[in-house]
Amino acid sequence: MNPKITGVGPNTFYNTTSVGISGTSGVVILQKVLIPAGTYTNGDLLIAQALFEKIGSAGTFTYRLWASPNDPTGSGLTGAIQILVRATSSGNLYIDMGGRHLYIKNASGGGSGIELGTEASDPLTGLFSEMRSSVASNLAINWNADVWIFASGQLASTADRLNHLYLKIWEY
Amino acid sequence: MIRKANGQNLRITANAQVGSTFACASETILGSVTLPPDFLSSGAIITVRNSCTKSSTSSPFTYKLYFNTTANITGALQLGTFSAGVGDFSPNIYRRFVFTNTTTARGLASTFSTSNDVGDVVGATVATFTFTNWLVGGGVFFVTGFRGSGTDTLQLINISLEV
Repeated sequence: MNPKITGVGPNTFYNTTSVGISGTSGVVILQKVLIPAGTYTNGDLLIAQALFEKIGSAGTFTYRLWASPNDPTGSGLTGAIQILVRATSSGNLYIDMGGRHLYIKNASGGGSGIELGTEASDPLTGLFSEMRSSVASNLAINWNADVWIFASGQLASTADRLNHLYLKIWEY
Repeated sequence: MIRKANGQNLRITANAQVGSTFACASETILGSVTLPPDFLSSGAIITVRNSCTKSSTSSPFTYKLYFNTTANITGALQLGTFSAGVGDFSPNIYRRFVFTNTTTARGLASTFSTSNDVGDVVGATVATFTFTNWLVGGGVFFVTGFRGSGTDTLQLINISLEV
Protein backbone atom coordinates (compact mmCIF):
# COMPACT_ATOMS: atom_id res chain seq x y z
CA MET A 1 0.00 0.00 0.00
CA ASN A 2 1.31 3.39 -0.91
CA PRO A 3 1.59 5.87 1.92
CA LYS A 4 -0.07 9.21 1.38
CA ILE A 5 2.59 11.44 -0.05
CA THR A 6 2.95 15.14 -0.53
CA GLY A 7 5.00 15.20 -3.65
CA VAL A 8 8.22 14.74 -1.81
CA GLY A 9 10.98 12.16 -1.70
CA PRO A 10 13.48 11.73 1.12
CA ASN A 11 15.64 14.58 -0.10
CA THR A 12 12.94 16.88 -1.44
CA PHE A 13 11.96 20.17 0.15
CA TYR A 14 9.04 22.31 -0.88
CA ASN A 15 6.90 25.25 0.12
CA THR A 16 3.36 25.59 -1.23
CA THR A 17 2.13 28.29 1.13
CA SER A 18 1.47 31.23 -1.18
CA VAL A 19 3.37 34.45 -0.49
CA GLY A 20 2.20 37.64 -2.16
CA ILE A 21 3.44 41.06 -3.19
CA SER A 22 0.94 43.88 -3.18
CA GLY A 23 1.20 47.65 -3.05
CA THR A 24 4.98 47.92 -3.18
CA SER A 25 7.71 48.18 -5.78
CA GLY A 26 10.38 47.19 -3.30
CA VAL A 27 12.15 43.84 -3.00
CA VAL A 28 10.07 41.29 -1.10
CA ILE A 29 11.26 37.98 0.35
CA LEU A 30 9.02 35.26 -1.06
CA GLN A 31 8.89 31.52 -0.31
CA LYS A 32 11.76 29.79 1.44
CA VAL A 33 12.83 26.23 2.29
CA LEU A 34 15.36 25.08 4.85
CA ILE A 35 17.87 22.45 3.76
CA PRO A 36 19.21 20.91 6.97
CA ALA A 37 22.97 20.66 7.36
CA GLY A 38 24.44 17.60 5.69
CA THR A 39 21.37 16.76 3.59
CA TYR A 40 23.32 17.06 0.35
CA THR A 41 26.93 16.22 -0.30
CA ASN A 42 29.57 16.07 -2.98
CA GLY A 43 28.30 14.76 -6.31
CA ASP A 44 24.61 15.43 -5.65
CA LEU A 45 22.62 17.04 -8.44
CA LEU A 46 19.75 19.27 -7.33
CA ILE A 47 17.04 21.08 -9.20
CA ALA A 48 15.00 24.06 -8.07
CA GLN A 49 11.58 24.96 -9.46
CA ALA A 50 9.13 27.73 -8.72
CA LEU A 51 5.83 29.08 -10.01
CA PHE A 52 4.69 32.69 -9.80
CA GLU A 53 1.31 34.22 -10.63
CA LYS A 54 1.22 37.86 -11.66
CA ILE A 55 -2.01 39.84 -11.59
CA GLY A 56 -1.87 42.91 -13.78
CA SER A 57 0.25 43.96 -16.73
CA ALA A 58 1.36 47.43 -15.69
CA GLY A 59 5.04 46.64 -15.23
CA THR A 60 7.78 44.05 -15.26
CA PHE A 61 8.58 41.52 -12.55
CA THR A 62 12.07 40.54 -11.44
CA TYR A 63 12.69 37.48 -9.33
CA ARG A 64 15.84 36.08 -7.83
CA LEU A 65 16.72 32.78 -6.24
CA TRP A 66 19.12 32.80 -3.31
CA ALA A 67 21.02 30.51 -0.95
CA SER A 68 21.82 31.72 2.52
CA PRO A 69 23.06 30.36 5.85
CA ASN A 70 20.57 32.73 7.50
CA ASP A 71 16.78 32.63 7.72
CA PRO A 72 15.77 35.39 5.28
CA THR A 73 12.77 36.27 7.41
CA GLY A 74 15.13 37.85 9.91
CA SER A 75 18.19 38.54 7.82
CA GLY A 76 16.81 39.49 4.43
CA LEU A 77 19.47 39.27 1.76
CA THR A 78 22.36 39.64 4.19
CA GLY A 79 24.87 36.89 3.51
CA ALA A 80 22.82 35.43 0.68
CA ILE A 81 24.33 34.14 -2.56
CA GLN A 82 22.36 34.82 -5.72
CA ILE A 83 21.62 31.68 -7.77
CA LEU A 84 19.71 33.33 -10.59
CA VAL A 85 17.92 36.48 -11.64
CA ARG A 86 15.21 36.80 -14.22
CA ALA A 87 13.21 39.82 -15.38
CA THR A 88 9.93 39.04 -17.12
CA SER A 89 7.93 41.20 -19.50
CA SER A 90 4.98 43.16 -18.20
CA GLY A 91 2.47 40.88 -19.95
CA ASN A 92 3.91 37.67 -18.48
CA LEU A 93 1.32 36.51 -15.97
CA TYR A 94 2.24 32.81 -15.81
CA ILE A 95 5.85 32.75 -14.64
CA ASP A 96 7.51 29.37 -14.26
CA MET A 97 11.12 29.35 -13.15
CA GLY A 98 11.69 26.43 -15.45
CA GLY A 99 14.26 24.75 -13.28
CA ARG A 100 17.75 25.55 -12.15
CA HIS A 101 20.31 22.81 -11.57
CA LEU A 102 22.93 22.84 -8.87
CA TYR A 103 25.73 20.30 -9.04
CA ILE A 104 27.58 20.10 -5.75
CA LYS A 105 31.25 19.83 -6.41
CA ASN A 106 32.34 20.73 -2.90
CA ALA A 107 29.74 20.55 -0.15
CA SER A 108 31.83 22.56 2.30
CA GLY A 109 31.50 25.66 0.17
CA GLY A 110 34.07 25.14 -2.51
CA GLY A 111 31.60 25.16 -5.37
CA SER A 112 28.05 24.37 -6.47
CA GLY A 113 25.97 25.40 -9.40
CA ILE A 114 26.04 25.72 -13.11
CA GLU A 115 25.27 29.27 -14.10
CA LEU A 116 24.88 32.61 -12.49
CA GLY A 117 23.43 35.52 -14.34
CA THR A 118 20.40 36.76 -16.16
CA GLU A 119 18.61 33.96 -17.90
CA ALA A 120 18.43 34.10 -21.67
CA SER A 121 16.12 32.66 -24.28
CA ASP A 122 17.32 29.40 -25.73
CA PRO A 123 17.64 29.73 -29.51
CA LEU A 124 16.19 26.28 -30.12
CA THR A 125 13.32 26.03 -27.66
CA GLY A 126 12.60 29.72 -27.17
CA LEU A 127 12.32 29.05 -23.45
CA PHE A 128 13.95 31.19 -20.84
CA SER A 129 15.98 28.71 -18.91
CA GLU A 130 19.43 27.63 -17.86
CA MET A 131 19.69 25.70 -21.13
CA ARG A 132 21.57 28.60 -22.55
CA SER A 133 25.22 29.35 -22.05
CA SER A 134 25.73 32.58 -20.21
CA VAL A 135 28.01 33.08 -17.25
CA ALA A 136 29.41 29.98 -15.62
CA SER A 137 30.07 30.35 -11.95
CA ASN A 138 30.77 28.41 -8.79
CA LEU A 139 28.54 29.32 -5.89
CA ALA A 140 30.19 29.08 -2.47
CA ILE A 141 27.32 27.33 -0.71
CA ASN A 142 28.23 25.38 2.42
CA TRP A 143 25.86 22.42 2.42
CA ASN A 144 27.44 21.05 5.59
CA ALA A 145 25.61 23.79 7.47
CA ASP A 146 21.93 24.74 7.27
CA VAL A 147 21.06 26.37 3.93
CA TRP A 148 17.98 28.47 3.25
CA ILE A 149 16.93 28.51 -0.38
CA PHE A 150 14.52 31.33 -1.05
CA ALA A 151 13.16 33.64 -3.71
CA SER A 152 12.82 37.38 -3.75
CA GLY A 153 10.61 39.38 -6.06
CA GLN A 154 10.16 42.95 -7.17
CA LEU A 155 7.29 44.45 -9.13
CA ALA A 156 8.05 47.53 -11.22
CA SER A 157 4.52 48.85 -10.76
CA THR A 158 2.46 49.02 -7.59
CA ALA A 159 -0.60 48.52 -9.79
CA ASP A 160 0.38 44.85 -10.16
CA ARG A 161 0.22 42.02 -7.62
CA LEU A 162 2.12 38.78 -7.43
CA ASN A 163 1.72 35.38 -5.77
CA HIS A 164 4.57 32.92 -5.31
CA LEU A 165 2.76 29.57 -5.48
CA TYR A 166 5.49 27.01 -4.90
CA LEU A 167 9.20 26.50 -4.45
CA LYS A 168 10.60 22.99 -4.69
CA ILE A 169 14.15 21.71 -4.30
CA TRP A 170 14.93 18.09 -4.96
CA GLU A 171 17.74 15.69 -5.67
CA TYR A 172 17.90 13.28 -8.54
CA MET B 1 4.39 1.50 -9.28
CA ILE B 2 7.18 2.95 -7.21
CA ARG B 3 10.62 3.30 -8.65
CA LYS B 4 13.73 4.15 -6.76
CA ALA B 5 15.75 6.88 -8.41
CA ASN B 6 18.97 7.83 -6.66
CA GLY B 7 17.45 7.51 -3.23
CA GLN B 8 14.21 9.23 -4.09
CA ASN B 9 10.80 7.70 -4.57
CA LEU B 10 9.34 8.43 -7.97
CA ARG B 11 5.85 7.22 -8.65
CA ILE B 12 4.75 6.60 -12.20
CA THR B 13 1.68 4.87 -13.51
CA ALA B 14 0.29 4.31 -16.99
CA ASN B 15 -2.70 2.45 -18.31
CA ALA B 16 -3.15 -0.37 -20.80
CA GLN B 17 -4.24 1.78 -23.72
CA VAL B 18 -0.72 2.82 -24.56
CA GLY B 19 0.18 1.73 -28.08
CA SER B 20 -3.31 1.85 -29.57
CA THR B 21 -3.92 3.83 -32.78
CA PHE B 22 -6.86 6.21 -33.14
CA ALA B 23 -8.38 8.10 -36.10
CA CYS B 24 -9.92 10.76 -33.84
CA ALA B 25 -12.63 11.80 -36.32
CA SER B 26 -14.41 12.93 -33.16
CA GLU B 27 -12.78 13.72 -29.83
CA THR B 28 -11.31 10.39 -28.71
CA ILE B 29 -9.61 9.28 -25.51
CA LEU B 30 -6.05 8.25 -26.33
CA GLY B 31 -4.90 7.04 -22.94
CA SER B 32 -5.11 7.61 -19.21
CA VAL B 33 -3.26 7.36 -15.94
CA THR B 34 -4.93 6.67 -12.62
CA LEU B 35 -4.61 8.79 -9.50
CA PRO B 36 -5.31 6.30 -6.68
CA PRO B 37 -7.67 7.43 -3.91
CA ASP B 38 -5.99 9.08 -0.96
CA PHE B 39 -2.62 8.90 -2.72
CA LEU B 40 -1.65 12.56 -2.53
CA SER B 41 -2.23 15.14 0.13
CA SER B 42 -2.67 18.89 -0.06
CA GLY B 43 0.56 20.56 -1.09
CA ALA B 44 1.53 17.90 -3.61
CA ILE B 45 3.22 19.08 -6.77
CA ILE B 46 2.58 16.72 -9.67
CA THR B 47 3.69 16.39 -13.27
CA VAL B 48 1.46 14.85 -15.94
CA ARG B 49 3.22 14.12 -19.20
CA ASN B 50 2.37 12.21 -22.33
CA SER B 51 3.34 12.00 -25.95
CA CYS B 52 1.94 10.66 -29.20
CA THR B 53 3.18 9.90 -32.64
CA LYS B 54 1.27 11.09 -35.71
CA SER B 55 1.19 8.89 -38.81
CA SER B 56 1.79 11.54 -41.50
CA THR B 57 1.46 15.21 -42.41
CA SER B 58 -2.12 15.52 -43.61
CA SER B 59 -3.87 16.40 -40.36
CA PRO B 60 -3.80 18.96 -37.57
CA PHE B 61 -5.01 17.69 -34.19
CA THR B 62 -6.43 19.29 -31.10
CA TYR B 63 -5.00 17.59 -28.08
CA LYS B 64 -6.47 17.95 -24.57
CA LEU B 65 -5.68 16.84 -21.02
CA TYR B 66 -8.56 16.14 -18.61
CA PHE B 67 -9.30 14.80 -15.14
CA ASN B 68 -12.43 12.90 -14.16
CA THR B 69 -13.50 10.17 -11.76
CA THR B 70 -13.36 7.77 -14.72
CA ALA B 71 -11.96 8.11 -18.24
CA ASN B 72 -15.04 9.90 -19.58
CA ILE B 73 -15.10 13.25 -21.37
CA THR B 74 -18.57 14.03 -20.07
CA GLY B 75 -18.20 15.97 -16.86
CA ALA B 76 -14.42 16.01 -17.07
CA LEU B 77 -12.29 18.95 -15.95
CA GLN B 78 -10.10 20.23 -18.79
CA LEU B 79 -6.55 20.83 -17.61
CA GLY B 80 -4.71 21.69 -20.81
CA THR B 81 -4.78 21.84 -24.59
CA PHE B 82 -2.36 21.88 -27.49
CA SER B 83 -3.18 22.49 -31.16
CA ALA B 84 -0.75 20.33 -33.08
CA GLY B 85 -0.02 21.38 -36.65
CA VAL B 86 0.29 19.05 -39.60
CA GLY B 87 4.06 18.90 -39.18
CA ASP B 88 3.97 18.06 -35.47
CA PHE B 89 4.82 14.38 -35.60
CA SER B 90 5.11 13.96 -31.85
CA PRO B 91 2.42 16.06 -30.17
CA ASN B 92 2.63 16.03 -26.42
CA ILE B 93 1.34 17.74 -23.30
CA TYR B 94 3.48 18.43 -20.23
CA ARG B 95 1.78 20.08 -17.25
CA ARG B 96 2.53 20.60 -13.57
CA PHE B 97 0.02 21.35 -10.83
CA VAL B 98 0.26 22.25 -7.17
CA PHE B 99 -2.63 21.17 -4.95
CA THR B 100 -3.56 23.99 -2.60
CA ASN B 101 -6.15 21.78 -0.87
CA THR B 102 -7.96 18.49 -1.54
CA THR B 103 -10.25 20.01 -4.18
CA THR B 104 -8.17 22.78 -5.74
CA ALA B 105 -5.00 22.87 -7.82
CA ARG B 106 -3.13 25.70 -9.55
CA GLY B 107 -1.40 25.53 -12.91
CA LEU B 108 -1.29 26.92 -16.45
CA ALA B 109 -4.70 27.99 -17.79
CA SER B 110 -6.42 25.08 -19.51
CA THR B 111 -7.35 26.94 -22.70
CA PHE B 112 -3.86 28.23 -23.43
CA SER B 113 -2.56 26.15 -26.33
CA THR B 114 0.96 24.93 -25.72
CA SER B 115 2.69 21.59 -25.44
CA ASN B 116 4.45 22.40 -22.16
CA ASP B 117 4.15 24.80 -19.27
CA VAL B 118 7.87 25.45 -18.80
CA GLY B 119 9.01 29.05 -18.67
CA ASP B 120 6.81 32.12 -18.87
CA VAL B 121 4.68 33.12 -21.80
CA VAL B 122 2.97 36.40 -22.60
CA GLY B 123 -0.79 35.89 -22.60
CA ALA B 124 -0.81 32.83 -20.37
CA THR B 125 -2.23 32.97 -16.85
CA VAL B 126 -2.21 30.78 -13.74
CA ALA B 127 -5.59 29.12 -13.33
CA THR B 128 -7.40 27.49 -10.43
CA PHE B 129 -8.71 23.98 -11.08
CA THR B 130 -11.47 22.66 -8.85
CA PHE B 131 -12.71 19.08 -8.82
CA THR B 132 -14.70 17.73 -5.92
CA ASN B 133 -12.53 15.67 -3.60
CA TRP B 134 -10.09 14.61 -6.30
CA LEU B 135 -7.25 13.84 -3.90
CA VAL B 136 -9.39 11.85 -1.49
CA GLY B 137 -11.47 10.07 -4.11
CA GLY B 138 -8.84 9.74 -6.80
CA GLY B 139 -9.66 9.57 -10.48
CA VAL B 140 -8.13 9.51 -13.92
CA PHE B 141 -5.98 11.89 -15.91
CA PHE B 142 -6.55 11.30 -19.61
CA VAL B 143 -5.71 12.83 -22.97
CA THR B 144 -7.91 13.15 -26.04
CA GLY B 145 -7.28 13.84 -29.70
CA PHE B 146 -9.50 15.42 -32.32
CA ARG B 147 -8.50 15.46 -35.98
CA GLY B 148 -9.21 18.72 -37.76
CA SER B 149 -8.97 17.35 -41.29
CA GLY B 150 -7.11 14.76 -43.39
CA THR B 151 -6.51 11.10 -42.68
CA ASP B 152 -3.68 10.92 -40.13
CA THR B 153 -3.95 8.75 -37.05
CA LEU B 154 -2.54 9.17 -33.54
CA GLN B 155 -0.82 6.61 -31.37
CA LEU B 156 -0.19 7.29 -27.69
CA ILE B 157 3.38 6.49 -26.71
CA ASN B 158 3.24 7.20 -22.99
CA ILE B 159 1.33 8.91 -20.25
CA SER B 160 2.60 9.27 -16.72
CA LEU B 161 1.93 10.91 -13.39
CA GLU B 162 4.97 11.89 -11.35
CA VAL B 163 5.41 13.44 -7.95
